[in-house]
Amino acid sequence: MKKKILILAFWLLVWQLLSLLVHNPFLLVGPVGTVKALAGLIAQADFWISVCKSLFRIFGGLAAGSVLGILFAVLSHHFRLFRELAEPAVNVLKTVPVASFIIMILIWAGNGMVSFWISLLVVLPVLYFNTREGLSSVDQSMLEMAAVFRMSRFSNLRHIVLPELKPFILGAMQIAPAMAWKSGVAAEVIGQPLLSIGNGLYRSKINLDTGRLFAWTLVIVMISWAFEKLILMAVRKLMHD
Amino acid sequence: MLRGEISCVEREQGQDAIYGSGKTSGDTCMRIRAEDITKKYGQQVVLDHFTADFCTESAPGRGRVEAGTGQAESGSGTPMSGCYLITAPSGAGKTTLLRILLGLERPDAGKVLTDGEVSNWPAGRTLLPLFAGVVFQEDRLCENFPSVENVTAFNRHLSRREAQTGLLSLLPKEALSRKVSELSGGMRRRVAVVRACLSEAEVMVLDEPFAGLDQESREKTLDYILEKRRGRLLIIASHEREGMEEFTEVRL
Repeated sequence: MKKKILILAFWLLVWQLLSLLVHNPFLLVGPVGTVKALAGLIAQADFWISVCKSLFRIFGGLAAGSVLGILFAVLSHHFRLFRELAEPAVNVLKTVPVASFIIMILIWAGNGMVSFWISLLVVLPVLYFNTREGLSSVDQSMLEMAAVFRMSRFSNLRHIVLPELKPFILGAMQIAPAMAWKSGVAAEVIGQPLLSIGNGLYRSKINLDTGRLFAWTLVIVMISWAFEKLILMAVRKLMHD
Repeated sequence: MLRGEISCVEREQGQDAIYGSGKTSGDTCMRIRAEDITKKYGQQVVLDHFTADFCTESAPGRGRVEAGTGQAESGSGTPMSGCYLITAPSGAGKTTLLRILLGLERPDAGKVLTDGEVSNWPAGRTLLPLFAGVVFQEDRLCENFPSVENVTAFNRHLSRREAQTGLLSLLPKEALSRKVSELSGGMRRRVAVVRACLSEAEVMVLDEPFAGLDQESREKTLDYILEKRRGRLLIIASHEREGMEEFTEVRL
């Protein structure tokens, strides 16, 4: 732990020295300047409103994308026709670059909820493929045993399927929140919905306020870290019932 | 080879409460017939035109069946009604035969009749022909769950208390709440036996139930199986005959 702090301190120092060397607040702002700008930022009500709005939209997209991804995976697992139709579509979702989607969504739905939709579209394939793989790798011999004992559907799910599915879903939840967050914020920067993090980021660029730009970036990184951690904790708790 | 060409006689129900919570059994009379079964794995012939009958009433007029216990009166040489022991050295096909009877595997030739109806070997989601309480060669327990739940998960009508009582007759108290993955091989086997015995199944099919058990545990487990059998058809596959001399032997 001590080592981590020392390494962090080292890089902060390097950053600060660089900013002093460059000596141009338009190009580079050091950690001190960033914190100053951050202090100014959090004093504003608009900051908090923007953060909350972005969080809700992106988290909503993450949740909806996860539910749909899992649902489609279950349907694909049980119904061949569904799999044959849906899987190519999900593959397309996976391969098309996020930027293209952002532009498309802006044209179709305007900029209000763009981060919600983008998070959803980015997360869906992850949960879909992970869940599919989990379902198809459930131990056949255990399913055989359940069939012989005529185990109820519910009991089967609870005692055999879900425990085996857990690592796959956890694996998905280790990457999905970060993906949702990054894509969501990028969508906001491009789409510029009012009172959003992306909007705040862009405005600081327009105002040539690099300090504020860095402050927003710091906020984004901190929320990303907290977002990931909290969601993983919540999913772990949910699956350990 | 055994041929028991006797039709099952309707048994008196009496106070035949087999499972906990006062659920009374239906008529447990049952007959499974393996007819001319042949099974090969590549070049190796595992079963060759094998025929056998398994019936809860295995011997005509012999051994009086007492309502409530399902145990035949054992005189010397009188086989226990409805108890079968499939013996063969390891690898000779015991497991294969059991899998075919259960409907898990399809033989290359021959058929299986359960209570007169020809069994098929369903794929996918259809019901298997036989509802059996099984002990598999591999334990096939739910690893991350404690022993008690491994028993209650397989019988909706069984209370935790009844499962606990059942497990306590074969296992030490500490083993009950621990995850199955943390138990020794012998203890896991016993959990699998209790699971099979306390299920609501109409048949008991046990593949090497005493594997990994010492002499004392083996005797206790066999006693437990016979106690919980309550007249159901019991088929045990084992390479040792000890303790089961009164079972009807089926040699492969």
